Amino acid sequence: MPTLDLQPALVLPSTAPSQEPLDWWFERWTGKPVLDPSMLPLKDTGTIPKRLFMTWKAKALNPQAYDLWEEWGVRERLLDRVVLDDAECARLAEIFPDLKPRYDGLPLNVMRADICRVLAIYYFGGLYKDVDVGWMRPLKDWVNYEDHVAYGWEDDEHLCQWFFAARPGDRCVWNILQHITNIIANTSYIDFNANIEAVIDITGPGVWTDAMQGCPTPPKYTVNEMKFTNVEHHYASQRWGGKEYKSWIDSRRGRGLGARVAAVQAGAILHLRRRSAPHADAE
Amino acid sequence: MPTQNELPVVTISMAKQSSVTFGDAFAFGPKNAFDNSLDTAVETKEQDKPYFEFTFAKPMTIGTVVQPDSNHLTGIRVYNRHREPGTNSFTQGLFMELYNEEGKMIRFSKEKRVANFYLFNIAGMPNTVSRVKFYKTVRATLTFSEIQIYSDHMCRHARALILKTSLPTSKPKLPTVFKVATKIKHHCPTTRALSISAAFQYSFCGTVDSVTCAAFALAQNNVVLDASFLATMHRMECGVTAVGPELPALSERQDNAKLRRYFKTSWCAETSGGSRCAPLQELVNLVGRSDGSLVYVEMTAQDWTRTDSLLNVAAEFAAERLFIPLRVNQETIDNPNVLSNLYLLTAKYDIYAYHVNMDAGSFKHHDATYPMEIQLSMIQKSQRRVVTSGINGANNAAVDDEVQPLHLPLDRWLKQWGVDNLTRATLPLPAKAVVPFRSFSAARRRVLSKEAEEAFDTWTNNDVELEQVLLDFAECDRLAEAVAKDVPLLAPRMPEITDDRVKSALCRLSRSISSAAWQRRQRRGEQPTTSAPVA
Repeated sequence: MPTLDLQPALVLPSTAPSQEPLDWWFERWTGKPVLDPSMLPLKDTGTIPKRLFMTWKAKALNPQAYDLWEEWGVRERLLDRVVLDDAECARLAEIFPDLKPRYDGLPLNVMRADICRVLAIYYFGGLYKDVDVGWMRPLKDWVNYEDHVAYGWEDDEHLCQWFFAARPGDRCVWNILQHITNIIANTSYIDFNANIEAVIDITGPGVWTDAMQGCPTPPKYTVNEMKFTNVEHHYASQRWGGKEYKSWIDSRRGRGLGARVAAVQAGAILHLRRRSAPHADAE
Repeated sequence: MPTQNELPVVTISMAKQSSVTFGDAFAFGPKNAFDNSLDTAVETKEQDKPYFEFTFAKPMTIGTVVQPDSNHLTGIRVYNRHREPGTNSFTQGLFMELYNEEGKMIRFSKEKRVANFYLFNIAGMPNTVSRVKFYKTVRATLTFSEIQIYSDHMCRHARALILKTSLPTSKPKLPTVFKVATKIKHHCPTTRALSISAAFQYSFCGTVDSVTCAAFALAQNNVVLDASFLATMHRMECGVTAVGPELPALSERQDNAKLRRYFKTSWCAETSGGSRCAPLQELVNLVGRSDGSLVYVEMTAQDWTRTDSLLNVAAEFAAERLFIPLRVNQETIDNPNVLSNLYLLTAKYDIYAYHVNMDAGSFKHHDATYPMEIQLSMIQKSQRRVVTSGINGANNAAVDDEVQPLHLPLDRWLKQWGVDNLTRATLPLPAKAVVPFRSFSAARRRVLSKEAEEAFDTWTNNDVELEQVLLDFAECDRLAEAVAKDVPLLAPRMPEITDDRVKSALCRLSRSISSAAWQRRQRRGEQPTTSAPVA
């Protein structure tokens, strides 16, 4: 088994930039000390910026996620690694027209996390990965930074949400945001207990797949490349354990919804676990 | 964006499918995809890659937008509500391709079945779509009940569709009985299937919960009711009364005791000697009851030829809704009593949906194939109950807002006549060898009083092929504008007229002017207005 030969000097300290607030990063990128909505989306410089976004409920990552975060830092030393917490996600949601009240009204945190990643990439440009996505191949070998948007397939039906990249202000990414904003205008009629797949269609891969139809840049990466070859999805909710990684569907099962959820085929549950990892639903 | 009701009707200019099952286009042809009835069927023969495709008369815009306009397409739902053999194939995924005006494929997607429909959300980059094609990639039957299209983001409010083209399927001249039976007199935007029994599926219009009812099943010899029907009635707080000399089908069922629990009225009661149901004569007491809101009548083909059948009872019964199967065969299709019986019903009830039940068989008539059974879903004319008291004491609001008398706007008539819009250039309409069989009336709005509606219906019922056009005053203004070249001062003053009678008279006059102008030009031998007046 190959070992990772890390030089001590390359191992980042525990006070690594993942702890830095969004304003800190904004100053680094623009020179302005505070996030300025009027400057968003940032100017498209012709390439995908070397920024790697993750979202988590707090700034501090848990050990397994932190290990992956560290490895990304070692392997991709030029990347700015930004962890957005819930409060920063809410700040970004305020900027997109009509989104904030609808965003606040969503019943599940996993849905807000779905939206936050798109907001980050739309406004700042860069790459997004879930915190449980590990490094496998140098990005320069498979991401063309001159592409407007880079993305792949999660399965034979849906586009992958756990890793994608785009230039700031990309029109295809705007489509995702606007489409989600449109369809979450009224979620009161949706019974999430009766239809657990509603999340997929409202903020998840389903809505992505719809919104990216006709995008001039087609999906480039296969299911295999998204899961095992280019990056590795660790499926935190299944493998890491710990309540913070429990998928939202498991959380709801704990509230007496087990019978309904159990009635859903195992495949659907696995699918949801995969796509909702690693965020716990902290309603 | 305008509200759903204000959105213009979307016109379909072409619809076709790879094949038609049983070769019976009347029952399973492409026209059924847009008839606004979820219970009629489109179904192909089993074959490789079956497909169904249709074309919009005016290409629709697609793509993610902040605010869709009235010609925007956000989704297409393909419903299946029937139980034909294709049901198994319905569980397979369905592919959709969208084409632009140049015939280039611009979108491709595959959807799995969700409940009883496929839903294709259409978002993404802006484009225009002209043709939609559904297909399967395997040897299968493509079958569904209805296509609905949406312009709202949530795909919740289906838009009205009209199939403009005259399909080859409608070429054979329909016997009058079928014309009457398939003439939808009420617009019902949302229908749901209601099973009388395994073989019968009727369309229920409106909100189930809003109905306070007693359901009556009338039959000469037996009544076949299945548990799901009774359970549905029970949920609707309907008592069910089965009326007939005897009920062998019911009493033979193993779950007889369970079924009888639903029977809440005294007409069918459990006794020591078995179930006892009311004789037909007791129906005399029911005639005129306002709480008899749903009646199912079992009628054989022979019954339809009689003048003393249960149909007479149904016609007299003050039911809110009537479910009755029209059954005909080769021997009875031309029987005048069948038609007069049907007219007897349509004088009291309007048809809002029909379901062709091919399981009941078909017959040949003048080289065409026709079904032996059409299940009619009817609603009492001018049914507008606000609050009623059910037989079980429940008070429920029972406003049938969803069922509206169907008076098409002028634009839809024009489209049927092959005119895209009303302008000076498009009037008069192209000439025909015969006087068009159309009648015109004018009113402030396209909503008539009860009396006027009855008069309107009388014409419709007696002249099935008559196109009865009800113009509202806004349309009169447009007509006046269209004839402005002949009467220049009429158009600008027409909107200012507030007196209804004067306005109606002028509206009639403007049509006459159009007619007279045409005749004048004809006499002068003017070209190229080789066309006929509007009316």
